[in-house]
Amino acid sequence: MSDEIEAEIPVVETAGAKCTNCDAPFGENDRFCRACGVQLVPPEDENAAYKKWNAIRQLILFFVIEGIICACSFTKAFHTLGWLIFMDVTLAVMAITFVSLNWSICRPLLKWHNFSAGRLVGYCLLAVLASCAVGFAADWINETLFSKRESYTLFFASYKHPILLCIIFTAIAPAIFEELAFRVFLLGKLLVVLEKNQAVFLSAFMFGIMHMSFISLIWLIPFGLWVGFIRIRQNTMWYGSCIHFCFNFTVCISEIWQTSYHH
Amino acid sequence: MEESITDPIAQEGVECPACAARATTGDAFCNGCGYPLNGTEKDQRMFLSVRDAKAIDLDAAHKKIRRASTALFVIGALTAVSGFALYAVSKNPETKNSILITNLILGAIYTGLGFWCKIKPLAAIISGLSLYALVFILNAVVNPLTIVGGIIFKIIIIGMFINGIKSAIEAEKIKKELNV
Repeated sequence: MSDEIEAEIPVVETAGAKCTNCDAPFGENDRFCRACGVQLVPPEDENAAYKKWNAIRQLILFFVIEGIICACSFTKAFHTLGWLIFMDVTLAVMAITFVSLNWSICRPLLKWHNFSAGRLVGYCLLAVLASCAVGFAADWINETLFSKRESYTLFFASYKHPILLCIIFTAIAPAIFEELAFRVFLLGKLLVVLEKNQAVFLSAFMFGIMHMSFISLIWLIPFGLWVGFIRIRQNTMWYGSCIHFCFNFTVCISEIWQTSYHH
Repeated sequence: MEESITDPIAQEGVECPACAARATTGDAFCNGCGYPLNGTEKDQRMFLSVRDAKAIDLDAAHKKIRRASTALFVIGALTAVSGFALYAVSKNPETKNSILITNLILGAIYTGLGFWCKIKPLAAIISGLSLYALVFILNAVVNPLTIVGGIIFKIIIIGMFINGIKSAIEAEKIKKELNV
């Protein structure tokens, strides 16, 4: 349906091309025929406009549903493991639904074409370092401004297997489903409407604000930009997924270590 | 247009009277905007008047974009002010600080987006609208009464954003057509 999404403008044949109206040859950057004045790059057809509006509608729907679920997960009434599982499953189902609705855009991103172990290790190390830096900064900010520590592990402490739960819900699930939702679906659809840099920025911005903690935007937006550009350059979601996993896993481990240390 | 200068055929050309492109002397039409270089005076006048009409549309679009950027500044200022107000009124010392800081950060983001609107209007306004919508959703989930509070103001602001987004798309399209 929309395989040529990544190509920016439907550029007419370049070298040695001829005007469709008068057969005069034209250069690569010509927008109008030098001989007859006909416009060479056709203005956007109906189909492209329809695709854009369709993309915008899907983006709004996605954003609103995602926003409501995330907003619920931040209200006290829903702070139980049952609700957490329910919401994570809903987010996962939603990500999968939107991805399968746009299978033709998303399918290439689910493959790992140019796997390079060296690059992967490099990215993962960077992610771990960034996570440590962010962890220290976040603790410092929380202690100085709000004189308290935020902790994910405390939430799981009252249940069985707190460490396992923490790793599943804060490291594994986001690495797969947030990446599917934001880097595969959202960024893919934004690219239909916007040019590359703006689309990557918006996907990072929306990814950041969805976390509903406005101080963490300071690192969430750069993180989203980094992963977004990697997704564009490598044309696969899996580098991003691994980076996301390493980042969150480091946070998780350092919190487990800190809580056990304090006890 | 930068590219057409590096184009070897266009180098010795004359400058197009309508756009910034250079056309080869033998060309009947400008390759950048379609201006009839060898056309009659009437043809050329017709072409320029159509171009002027598009330039007027572009102006109108810019005006709507500016309105959206004003909306961003207004929300930014209101968010910051309400942050201080809530800080002064609040009796809970634990949430006091975080309310003030959250509001100040939000205000700063809106203001930043307002300035960014001058460079990349489309991305800036969509960001602003999505942030505004998300804060609305968050407030609505925590306290459903906030949906009705100031509803007319909210509708006006959202209307300005949506018009701004439409105009930004329109402006990008016209700029491409005009080759400016």
